Amino acid sequence: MAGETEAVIIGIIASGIRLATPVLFAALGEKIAERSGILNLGIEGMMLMGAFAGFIGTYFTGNYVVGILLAMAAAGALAVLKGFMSITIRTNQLAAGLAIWLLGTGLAALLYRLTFGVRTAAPSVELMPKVDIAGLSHIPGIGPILLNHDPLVYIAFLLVPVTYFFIFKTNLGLKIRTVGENPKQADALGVNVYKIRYLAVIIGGLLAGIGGAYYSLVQTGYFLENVTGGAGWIALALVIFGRWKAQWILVGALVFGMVDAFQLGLQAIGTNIPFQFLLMLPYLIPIAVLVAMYKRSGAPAALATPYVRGER
Amino acid sequence: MSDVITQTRNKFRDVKFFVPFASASLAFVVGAIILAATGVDVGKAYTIMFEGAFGSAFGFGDVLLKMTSLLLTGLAVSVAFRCRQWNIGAEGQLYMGALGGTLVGISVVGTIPGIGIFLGIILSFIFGALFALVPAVLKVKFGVNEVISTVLLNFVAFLFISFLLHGPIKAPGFNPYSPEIADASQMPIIFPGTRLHAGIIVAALATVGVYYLWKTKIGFEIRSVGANIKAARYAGMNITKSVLVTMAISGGLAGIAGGMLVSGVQHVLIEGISPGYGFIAVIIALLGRQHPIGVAIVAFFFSVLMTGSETMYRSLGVPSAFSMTLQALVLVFVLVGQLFVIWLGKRHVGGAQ
Amino acid sequence: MKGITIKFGDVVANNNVDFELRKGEVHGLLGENGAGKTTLMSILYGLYQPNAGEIIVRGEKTIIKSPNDAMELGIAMVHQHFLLTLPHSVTENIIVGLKSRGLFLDLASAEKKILHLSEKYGLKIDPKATVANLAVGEQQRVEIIKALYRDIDILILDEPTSMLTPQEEKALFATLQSMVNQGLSIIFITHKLHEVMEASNRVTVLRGGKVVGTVNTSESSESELAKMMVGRLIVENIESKSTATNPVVLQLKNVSAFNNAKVKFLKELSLELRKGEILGIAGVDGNGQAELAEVIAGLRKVQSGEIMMDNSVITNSSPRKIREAGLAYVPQDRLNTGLILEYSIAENLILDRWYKDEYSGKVFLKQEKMNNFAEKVVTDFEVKTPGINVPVNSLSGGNLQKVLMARELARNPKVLVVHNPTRGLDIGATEYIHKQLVKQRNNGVGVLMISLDLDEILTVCDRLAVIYEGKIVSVMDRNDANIEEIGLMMGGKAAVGPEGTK
Repeated sequence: MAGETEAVIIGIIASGIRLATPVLFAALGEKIAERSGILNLGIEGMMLMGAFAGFIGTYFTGNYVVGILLAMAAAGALAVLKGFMSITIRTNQLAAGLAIWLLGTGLAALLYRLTFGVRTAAPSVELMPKVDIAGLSHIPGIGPILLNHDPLVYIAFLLVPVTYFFIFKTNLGLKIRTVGENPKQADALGVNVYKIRYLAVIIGGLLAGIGGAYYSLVQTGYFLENVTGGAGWIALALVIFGRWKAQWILVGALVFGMVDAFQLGLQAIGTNIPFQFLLMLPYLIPIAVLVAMYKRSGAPAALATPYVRGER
Repeated sequence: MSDVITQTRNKFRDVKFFVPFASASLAFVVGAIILAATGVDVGKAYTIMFEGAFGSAFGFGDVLLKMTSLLLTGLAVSVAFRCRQWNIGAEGQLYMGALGGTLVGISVVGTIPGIGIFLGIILSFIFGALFALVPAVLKVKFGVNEVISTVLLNFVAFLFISFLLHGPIKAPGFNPYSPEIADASQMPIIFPGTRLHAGIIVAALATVGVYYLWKTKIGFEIRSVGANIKAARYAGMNITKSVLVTMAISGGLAGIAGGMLVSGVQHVLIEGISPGYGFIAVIIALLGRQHPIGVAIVAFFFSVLMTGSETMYRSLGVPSAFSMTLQALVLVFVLVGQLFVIWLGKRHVGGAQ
Repeated sequence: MKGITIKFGDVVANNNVDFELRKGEVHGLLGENGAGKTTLMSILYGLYQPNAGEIIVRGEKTIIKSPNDAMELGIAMVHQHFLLTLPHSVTENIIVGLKSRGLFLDLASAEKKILHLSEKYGLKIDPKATVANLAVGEQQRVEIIKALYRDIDILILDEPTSMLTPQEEKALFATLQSMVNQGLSIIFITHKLHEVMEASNRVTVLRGGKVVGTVNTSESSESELAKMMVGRLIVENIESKSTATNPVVLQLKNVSAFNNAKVKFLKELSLELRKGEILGIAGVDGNGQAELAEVIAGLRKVQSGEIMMDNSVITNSSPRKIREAGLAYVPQDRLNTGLILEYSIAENLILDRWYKDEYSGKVFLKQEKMNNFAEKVVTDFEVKTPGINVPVNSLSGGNLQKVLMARELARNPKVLVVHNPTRGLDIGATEYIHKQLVKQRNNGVGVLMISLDLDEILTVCDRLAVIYEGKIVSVMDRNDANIEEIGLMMGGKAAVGPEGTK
């Protein structure tokens, strides 16, 4: 019996890592954007476009790379639009983000239906295969947990230190941070604030696109309306929870992933708890975390003031 | 009063006034491009859309029917926005309100003629309000960002309703529906031959109510907190009270919208009873500039869009997501348009960068 | 700079301005608030493009489209409000935006260069320090090194002494002199006459966007410059009253409070304000002035100590109760704390009293009563506005301040606290505000005027106190005031004042 439990736990952890991946992509991307002062509420819409574009790209070419690139392009395009609204036109950032969210959601569903129409058997793609790192995936414990995931998982986790170095140890990163904290200073020192912000928000879009594609190419093999299930919003919560630092965002994403894996596992095992309540967990945890954060960090209750950093 | 007239007259002279119309037109153009790209006959599509909305009594009745939902949720979100509470949870609050209305409708109380309907409205308001108070309290007490909490709670609401419909309030049979609500709880149809029920009157009353809300003392506090929280605090206004009252009203209005969906059309509670009214309401609130009349106008326009879109689907197979896409495009173009005009104006001034 | 003209909308900020900087000189750019000085220099630094005119640097005509262009020409600017990123280190603040040679930050060599510059010009600074932890004077040094780092020979300083004590001012001027000795040419913007007299070789005076004249400092005088600056001799002759025998109307006893960063900022502060006097609070910005005003107004929690108004305790009462006890408060942050910009004059005027029977019934606001009140205020206070229902963000700074004061004074308060009441206002508005304060004093109101402008305090107040690091270090009558001493006290070298504090 113990062996079975162990296997289940290992399965949950491995699954948790995979469930954390798309949210991790989106959150890292948003962190970079927010570091430059752009708040993007439209991540969910970008991820959905990414899911759709990734699906379509892979469906018609059979090639995952094409799918992912298309996903990045689609989400990136939305990011450019968000940038245009927020940086060049200087609309209220919250309104612009919400517009992008709704546009992305609607457009993804619309284009999907227009492309495929109504069919009895929904079109699907083969799930992206897992990679066997160094042929060691059979090692019990570590094997399934660390060495047997699809490539996107490894890319996502690699992005964590890459993001950290990018933001804190490069000249461009310093520019991004300064633009986000004091854009007037950056401007007076010759930094092109607009360019930097566009760059940051586009990076955010590209990563959100990959995150979205993960759902259609790795998790489900289909495109479904709302296949992302709120991941974009979870990513926003993660950035706040992680206090804009890549390492903490990683922790948050893993916690989210584990909780999701756990409740799925519970459903599989079978419990008395109605499955709907289990499904609620991944949505309630971020809220609970935000509540807990307030008490510990003594964050000022910025009542009725939306967070906008360094608005120019 | 003459101030209002002068202001309105000035608005017409202001280029900015035409931005919404230009934006809506642009959105239709983009929509046309998308349709054309997938081989749909654009002229036919838009004609059918127009006919669907205005071509028959039934069609127009459906427009007003949708307007009931969009107006109520639009008002709900606009009230919250006026206090700078970014309530993206109207959809979930709508569902909780629908639940409240259903509970009345399937209980003994709901069978009492004359009382059933009103009790249904009241309970749907209360359920919606209470559900909205959850993120409100979290914000006031713990500083939890309400955008995130209201959005995530939507999912919680959907799941909760799903749970109830598969179990505790499920009607006998295969489908996850609630039992049908009593006759005394159903909204009467006010135009025979259409599906339009008295809910439109409720929505109209709500509009008037919100209009006068802003002229009251509490309304003044709420607006002030939304406009400048520092100044409001210094003026001695009770920030907490304002936030809580705002969210309660917001959730309550959305709740009524949910109740209307059950008592007015379906007469049962089902999952997916709302095609996303609570989300479209966000667009409406942003476009309506937080003024109840503006909200009503936008709600009407969007109802036309949605009704026409349904007809397009039935006749040409154009997916329903078309209307949501168009609505989002209108918002994007309006947002861009308003400031584009200002931006262009600034460009002519040699100095400022 | 020849014939520089720039317009913002209808306002001509610079009108055909000619300005010349000679090598190795310190050139003062003098004018009152709104004269166009900062605008002119911002053009030189590439932040704005003029509508007309040309710029000639070292004999060559150039167009400066951005700060990058300016820096390439060897021009740098230190702004009045520091442009620093507080959570970053000194080095990070200095090197951001430089054309870098590599991908990665090279903090080590940057630090070396910073230390070198620091020694060369006598500007002591630790490159590794976090800017948030630095004192104001040190932050200014960071700003200056930030400019020097870019191999410049023209340095523009915008109101560099607004945050300094008189002693730090002297040190700054010495630094400027040493920079000139090393080959720099310096322009500094100010509205303070004694500064140009002390530190500059030549002075150009701007008024209303136009050049009034350029003179050699040694051949001019403060009064001549004042006349050029304002167009007439400034005569604000406000007699001070002796108030030692008046009853005390506001009293703070050993009040302690935290600032926003939870650091103890008011340290057992004690203060007495009498009826019918104007008491000035002098001090360098950041020594607790804002916190002092806020604890009195009920906007900041008092951790220990007592505040009494007319013998009733108001410590930690709600802002509304304190107002009703007789306090009027005009915050320094007019636009954010005092007024709601989108609201009309009428709505702003009732912000503090909307709940009263006069202005609202059981449920609704009484629009007509509000309008009547607003009309009365506009007339009484000579507020220039197209109407009472226009949003106040269309009003000028001076008129905004009038609306704010009018609202506060309409309560017939016992105590009036004003914080930097004339900051950013032109001479006309400033005089008007001063007259109002004196009028209130003559009516028996106790006026507490917190100001960063020592000249203003010495012009208007009957008594003045110096605040340093959250304590009142000295109180004296205006007639006994000695600028040297006050300067020392503002900088922390406390002397024992007549009331024996510290």
